[in-house]
Amino acid sequence: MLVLTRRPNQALRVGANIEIRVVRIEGDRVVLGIVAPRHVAVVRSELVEEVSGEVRGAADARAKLRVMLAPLQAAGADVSDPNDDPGVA
Amino acid sequence: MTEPDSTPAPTSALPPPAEIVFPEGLVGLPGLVHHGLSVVPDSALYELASRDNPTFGVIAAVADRIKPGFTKKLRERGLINEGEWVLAILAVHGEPPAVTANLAGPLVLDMKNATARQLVLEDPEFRLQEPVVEPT
Repeated sequence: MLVLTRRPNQALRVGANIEIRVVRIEGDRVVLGIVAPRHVAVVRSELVEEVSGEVRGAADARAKLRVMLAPLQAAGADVSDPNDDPGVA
Repeated sequence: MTEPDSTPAPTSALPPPAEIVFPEGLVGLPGLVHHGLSVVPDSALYELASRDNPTFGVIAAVADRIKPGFTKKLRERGLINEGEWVLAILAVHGEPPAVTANLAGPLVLDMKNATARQLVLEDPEFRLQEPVVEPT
């Protein structure tokens, strides 16, 4: 791992298009400003882990989910009818 | 199995059962690349079943049905392309159990090319466990 020391308002670059700037330091927290192309996802590492955990949990709950949703489907409740979905091109 | 070339062009409805490839796998599960996409019988839900790990599969709903305008927002932010579909993986949480949708990690499907990817969205508006069915 590359380790660099930066002070507030100093920055570093990752490649040609990504800049990470230390905005300020608040106690044990560092506030960062990140400039990156729109297609580059910038997310907290823990969020990636949370999403991954959620996916695994969803897989484990697949059978339970089917049972829970069955009455709604039988009653005509619509949780996911895409046929008239205006948001899908 | 539906060949990618025979997959119909995007319309207002999701296509028939198809094979779809996540080149980078799912988030935290990079080995899960090949999946089958099918309609859950007698429902308007979809099942993504891994071909790489037959024990793995998730049920998903069109994200816009969970959160209207979701797809449009992602498109405006340049995160998805025109014609791509967005699904939200459903899960069960809590006691009594409630169904939730994962809007922080939506699935983006390009059915024309039979490829897909999973996003991770850093936005408090898009919750990891968006309530779908309230506990009874």
